[in-house]
Amino acid sequence: MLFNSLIFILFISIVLLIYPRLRLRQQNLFLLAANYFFYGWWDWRFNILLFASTLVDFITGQKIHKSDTEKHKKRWLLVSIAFNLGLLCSFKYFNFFMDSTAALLQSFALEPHLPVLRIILPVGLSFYTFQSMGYIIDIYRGRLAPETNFVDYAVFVSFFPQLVAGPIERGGHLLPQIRSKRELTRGKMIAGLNLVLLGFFKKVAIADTLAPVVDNIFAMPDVMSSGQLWTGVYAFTFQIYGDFSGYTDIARGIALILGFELIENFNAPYLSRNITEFWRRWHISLSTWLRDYLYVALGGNRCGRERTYANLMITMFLGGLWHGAAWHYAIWGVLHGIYLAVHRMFLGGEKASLSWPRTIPGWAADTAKIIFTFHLVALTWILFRTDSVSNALVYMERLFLFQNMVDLQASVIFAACLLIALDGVQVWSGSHTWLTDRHGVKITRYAVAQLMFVCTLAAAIAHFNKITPFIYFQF
Amino acid sequence: MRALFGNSVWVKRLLLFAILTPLSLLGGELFTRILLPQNVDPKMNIFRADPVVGYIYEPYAEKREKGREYNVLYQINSIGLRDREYSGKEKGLVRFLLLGDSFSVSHGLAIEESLSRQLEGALQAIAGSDKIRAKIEVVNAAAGGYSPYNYWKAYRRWADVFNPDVVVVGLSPDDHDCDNEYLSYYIEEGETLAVYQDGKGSRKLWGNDLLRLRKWLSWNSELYILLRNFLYYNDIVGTVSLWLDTHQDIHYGQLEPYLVPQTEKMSKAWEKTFSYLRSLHDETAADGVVLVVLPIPLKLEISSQEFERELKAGGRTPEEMDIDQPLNGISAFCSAEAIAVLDPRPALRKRHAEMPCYFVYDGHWNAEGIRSVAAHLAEQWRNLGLPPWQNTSRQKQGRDAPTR
Repeated sequence: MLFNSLIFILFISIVLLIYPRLRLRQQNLFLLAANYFFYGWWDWRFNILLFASTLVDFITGQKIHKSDTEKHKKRWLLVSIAFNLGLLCSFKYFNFFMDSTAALLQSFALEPHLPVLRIILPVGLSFYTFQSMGYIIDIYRGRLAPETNFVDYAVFVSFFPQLVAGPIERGGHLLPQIRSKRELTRGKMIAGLNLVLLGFFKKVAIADTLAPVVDNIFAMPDVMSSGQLWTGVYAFTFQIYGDFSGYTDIARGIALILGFELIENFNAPYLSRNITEFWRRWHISLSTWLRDYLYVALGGNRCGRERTYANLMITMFLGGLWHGAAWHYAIWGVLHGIYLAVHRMFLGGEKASLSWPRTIPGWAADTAKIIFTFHLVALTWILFRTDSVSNALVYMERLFLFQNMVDLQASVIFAACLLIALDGVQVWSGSHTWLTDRHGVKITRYAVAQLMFVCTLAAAIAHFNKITPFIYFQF
Repeated sequence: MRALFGNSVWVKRLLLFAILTPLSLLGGELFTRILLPQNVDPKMNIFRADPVVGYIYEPYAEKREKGREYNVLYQINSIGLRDREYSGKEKGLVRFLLLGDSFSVSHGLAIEESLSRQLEGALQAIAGSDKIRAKIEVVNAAAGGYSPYNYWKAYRRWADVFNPDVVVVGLSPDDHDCDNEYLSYYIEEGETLAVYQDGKGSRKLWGNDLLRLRKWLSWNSELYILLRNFLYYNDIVGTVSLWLDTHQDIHYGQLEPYLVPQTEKMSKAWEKTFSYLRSLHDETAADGVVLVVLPIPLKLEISSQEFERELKAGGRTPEEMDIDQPLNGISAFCSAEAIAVLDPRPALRKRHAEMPCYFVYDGHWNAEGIRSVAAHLAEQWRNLGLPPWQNTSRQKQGRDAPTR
């Protein structure tokens, strides 16, 4: 069930009609039923997997907490992690590993006959397994007490606004909200609706409008001019941002209307001045998850410089693979690992070996940094968008010929400016929840909301018979 | 302001809304123009008022007609017809005067592909194969928006100029005119903005202002075009129409001429239409000119899919409809008046099954449709023994001539 479909509008209308009239326990039970209905709309069998994951982690969480010795704790932790990674490997990575092994053996002139699973990837699997794993690791580390009510825990794992594409919630943040009575206020309702509108604007008006441009250019990069290829790079850079942050805004808006505050996932990422800052602003729930549960577990920056760089590379490599079982995702991750390592090596921290000359004004240096970081990220998206590394190389090769740059489409730049301007309004108004009482901010937001409504309506009409799924649903 | 409205929050909100709405619409317009560009209607500036017909094309005007499926040049000759220049009538020349509306003037098509040129070519070819030496000319005296009243007046306007042997009237089922005697046309910036009855309305009518606003928006606003096309072409309109039909029984859409039993409004409209045709026939007969009626089928008469779409949109069932009703009415009238009727529907249905004969969005004939119609008409023409087959000299045919 896609947020941008008529069936979802019907679904959410029914939920919002019934939900506020119920008491806390009833609300949680109702939410659980709604979550499973929402998820089962894709394929009812997905619910079996979701329930199994919920049950295993609920029990192992209790077991870890009750274990007397470190050895027992670790054993139950491994049970949970093995189960969750097992799910991911079976449904997402099995065929990738088999194909890669077969390709490796073929390079040694062997003809392997390895099994291939004919299974579909359940939507949102990567998101909810990571959320469950985070919950278990937090219990193991003693930072979180396990949830004792199964319904509450099941709501935490399957909460429909963020089930299929995040934000990846933390137990310490969402579970207390599920346990306690929610305040459904008019302010939250308005702020939630604003976020939903913002999300639809980003998704329908920007991302879906850019989608045909991107599809067309990335389908045949070998016949496109450099100007068109640059258009493709910029268009995809803003398509993926509009699509994913749009989803997040809708999720956070719906959650807010239901009385929950989800964590922020984006904070004007294309205004970052360096790559480290970018990863603090882009898909925040995943990058902090990777930092807290993978990078830190690998030793983080506590084991010397070389090990720190290696940890960064491993973390980003796995982060790349998290997005998809293909080498171009892995290389995309590794490249970001390299950027982070290089930034840390030369430019980051107090002992930075390179710095800007003092004669350059701060704002000019910041602008240059933002433009440089943006282009670094944008060019690396090519690997993310193409379906193979070889196609990405063809794309890059032709991109830098700089032929027929007049083919660069002004409309893409306009769409980009709209998103950047929206980020600017958010940064200026200082609150990503749209919950504010400042008079000037309220009027500005009202004006922006009205403009977004008109543009979203126009785009929805233009794309009426063509619903484009969210990009991150495939992960 | 405070004295007037007090401290009401709602008044402040309404004021804010009133100020911000135009700005939002402007923003939406900019957004649509850049990211979702649409074809605004071309401002053709091509008509001028005429004391006889009501309006004609502006002599020497040269404009492009642009739409979703066409972009063609309209070149108007020195006397206000979408046609070439004509000289005096030579001996051996058989001249046809084509009267009609946008179908006949060949909306969306280049002049070479127009009905007048294609019919002329087809007739000339068949005449040549039959070794008839007459030269045939088909004068395109049709204009977009004309109705039977204008056909009659157009004959009066051009008869002395062209001295035709035959008058062909393209008559659409939606050509029914209701109470349109003493019409006046309000032409603004070369567009027929409003049609109103003398003494019963004027350019100051609210309806005309609304028309003017819609026209202005269609020329200038891509956001408006996006919304208009969506409402026009999407099934949602069908759903809304269905709802309206069910609850108010006021909407027929294009189906009204086919509805059985015929509505009172429709019966009166056809009566009026036939009265104009009768007047036209009286005048042609007096001049010894052969009058031929060409019933023009709408797309829904040719395409069953289109018919079903219209039925769905109008909330009607096939049992309530008689697709032949307009043609039967026209045939009955023409039979009584001894006017020849040429039916292009068999040829169009056959051809449309193989290749679209109408524009997809526009609903007018496309070039293929015109070619099929012209070829079929020329064949029928010969079979009926109409000029020049009957006699290359001018026919002196009165109202009591035999029905063909």
